[in-house]
Amino acid sequence: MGIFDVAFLVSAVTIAAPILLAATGELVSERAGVLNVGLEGVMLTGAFGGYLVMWETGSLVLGFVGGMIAGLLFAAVMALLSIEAKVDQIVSGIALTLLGYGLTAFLNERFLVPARTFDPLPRLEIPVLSDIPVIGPAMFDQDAFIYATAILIILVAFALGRTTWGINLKAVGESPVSADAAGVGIRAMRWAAVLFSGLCAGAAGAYLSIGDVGVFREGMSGGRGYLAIAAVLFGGWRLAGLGIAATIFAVADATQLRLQAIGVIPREVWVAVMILVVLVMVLGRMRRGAGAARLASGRLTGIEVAGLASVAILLALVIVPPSITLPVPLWLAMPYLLALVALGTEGKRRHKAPTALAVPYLRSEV
Amino acid sequence: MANRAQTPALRLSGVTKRFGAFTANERVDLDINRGEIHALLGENGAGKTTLMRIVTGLYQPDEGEVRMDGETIRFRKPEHALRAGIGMVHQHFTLVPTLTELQNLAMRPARIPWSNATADVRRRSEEIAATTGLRINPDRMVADASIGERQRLEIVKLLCRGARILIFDEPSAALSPGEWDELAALMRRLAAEGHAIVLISHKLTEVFAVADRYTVLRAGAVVGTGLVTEVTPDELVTMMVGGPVMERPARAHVNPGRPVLTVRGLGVARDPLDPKSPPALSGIDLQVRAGEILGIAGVAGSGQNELVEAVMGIRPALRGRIELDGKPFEDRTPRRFYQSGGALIPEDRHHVAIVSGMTLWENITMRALRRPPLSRRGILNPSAARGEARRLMAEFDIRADTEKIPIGRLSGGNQQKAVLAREFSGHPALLIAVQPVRGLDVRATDFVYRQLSEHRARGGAILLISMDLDEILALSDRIAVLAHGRIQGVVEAEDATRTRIGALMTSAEEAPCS
Repeated sequence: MGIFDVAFLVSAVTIAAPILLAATGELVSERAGVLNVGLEGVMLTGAFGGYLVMWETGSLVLGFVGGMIAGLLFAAVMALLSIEAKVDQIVSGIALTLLGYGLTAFLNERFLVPARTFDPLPRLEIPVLSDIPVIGPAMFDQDAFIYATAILIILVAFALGRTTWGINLKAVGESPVSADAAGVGIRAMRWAAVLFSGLCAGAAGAYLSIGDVGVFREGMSGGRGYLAIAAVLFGGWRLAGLGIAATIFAVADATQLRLQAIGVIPREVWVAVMILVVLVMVLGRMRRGAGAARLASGRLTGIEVAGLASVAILLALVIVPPSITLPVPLWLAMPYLLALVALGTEGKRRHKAPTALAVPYLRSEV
Repeated sequence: MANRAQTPALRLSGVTKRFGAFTANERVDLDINRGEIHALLGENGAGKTTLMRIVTGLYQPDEGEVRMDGETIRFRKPEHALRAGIGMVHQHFTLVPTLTELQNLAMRPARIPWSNATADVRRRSEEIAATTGLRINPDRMVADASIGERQRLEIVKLLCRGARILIFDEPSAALSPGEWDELAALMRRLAAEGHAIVLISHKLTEVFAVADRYTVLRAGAVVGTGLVTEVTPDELVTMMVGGPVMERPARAHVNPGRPVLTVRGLGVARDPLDPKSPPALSGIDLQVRAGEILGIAGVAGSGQNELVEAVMGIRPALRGRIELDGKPFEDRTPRRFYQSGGALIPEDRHHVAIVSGMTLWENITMRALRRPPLSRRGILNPSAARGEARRLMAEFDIRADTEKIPIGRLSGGNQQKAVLAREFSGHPALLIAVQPVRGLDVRATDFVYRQLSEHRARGGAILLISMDLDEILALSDRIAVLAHGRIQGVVEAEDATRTRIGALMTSAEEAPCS
């Protein structure tokens, strides 16, 4: 198995869970029409809030509650700016992120000295299920946070698809005028959605600090909030799409972590990338083939030519694996690079965005 | 009427609403009875909208009171009015296109967050279908429904919420003649069941077709009310405008000259990105000559948009040739369309015809800004442009304090005059006018019609596209009937009657694929 072993899967799941949780909150917020660009800041504040409370009390549970409250407060600022003051959501989100970075770094250095390290969340083995080979240890021998995330996603899926609240939420993001005419309170729905995203991002942040590693470091969210926003876009504002996006990001991140340790890129990485490229090309072709009858013409598009070329190069790399070593910062950039590529190829999904996304609602224009 | 004796379903007495120094409604008294269709008439800005916003809870009156079934009510938000049983069918539908019809019905404030109203609403909509005949297609996306079907859904939505007083704001604006007849029958049925219906409309033919009583507003105050049977259309117009409207001069006879727009064998795919998709237009042959108005009659969605977009070069054509002003017009782009002597009055005034955030003068001169004298070597001369705008404002009677006002703040009639000023200032050979009087009041409508006639008298060609058959019949020299993406026939104005055009509109079933 080389580097793609069970431990790799476990680490991928651990990386995916906080991104997925934050992205789920962001999805709810965006479906209500508020683009919470400050998610990174909210997540970082959650990480700090969790660490702060745990530093004081030593309780993991209270720590998570603290992280959620910190996220809630920060999201409330975002809601105040975007819903009440109707500030541009991109600008206020960036401001919020910068505030999060500065504030947590300052408070951490000023008050939380000396730094303490805690035990991360204990693993809970689910009987029977955890005995399944490969999937068992990866999915059913994890900590409580990951199970909670899974349950929450199921609940959100239910709420979005099967409740009046979900219908109202989607209506508020799609056509606030219509929702208003039907008597649905736009402000209340948006506040609820943004605060929910704050709770989620706060909890995800707390997991990063006290849940996973047991310590807070400056800027430790490391762009995961942005990844979560990207995941919502890549996932086409659907929960299922979110899962795929988070999986891709997490696998890339887990891979780069492994490669950092090994140094030289082993052969199976090239094989895996090659399989991935072929898979993406086949899927792309199938999807287009379903719509038009272009499949019959057999002509290759530019992207496909590029894809075939990269497959050939990868094949060469598999046969003669070069001993490439890359500096660590470049490895760290890999998931983000992949996120860019993913967003670029899926740019057409933009039309699935809620129509009123990032548009403040003013009533008089009915 | 038998309902006279009982307490009215809705009684407004002495309702006044001011915005700063401007009085939108002044001591308005209005009685709406159960079982009647009450037409609310008035020009744009007469205060109809403000009055209805008070009734539906969007505004609170400064003075006066609103009584429902004899009880004084005060709505603080639209939800209260809905709950009390007052519902409004807005001109711009309040439906969410990405949800299904059933989900749109289920959209409402939820007392229990995790409740699911869809099953309840489905049952309710079936009850409504049984009593009123209003059938919906519950699991279809609203985006896939036609305009008429959306309006039906809007009505069902209000009935589902228990509305007993229904307000229709310009309901026929987007409907075909057939759909309007259906709606009129439905309004009668609802009234017969004991609902109170308020109809806001500019079209007197509709008022006389369905309404029992009328109330006319002018400058925020009631100037007349009574039974429709006891009034003539001319009297109503006089009340609305405050004076008699001049009779439109009879159409002068103009001998049509050379062809200005010739379309041969035009075919257009429904999905512009996919040539294999079913055709939106096929085998279109048209000719518009100088000094002639060619009317295109047809229900909404028959291919009118595709025709305009293909001629202008917004949408690619699969096949066919187009000649504009005597020269072949290939490699079409909107810019080349205007350069070749074309002009357009688009259907969607707010989004296509004007940039509402920009000033009046910018909107008027937009098309002339590339050419001298308004710009030299690419550098704009704003004072010359503003002067040109002021000249056109005077010529086209655009009422605005200054040319620097954002055009979005003007009334619809003045906006449309600005659009006309811009389009006619380039002395076009061909004008494409799509629903040119949509949402305009009596006077503005009259102005637009006069301008179109003058353009024709000057030897200009006009392609008039409208879903309003009366408009087509009144203005056109020849009428082409468009249905299912094909020209079903071309009729000379002398031979055209409503029945003949209506028969052509519905003659062909689905267009065969070619």
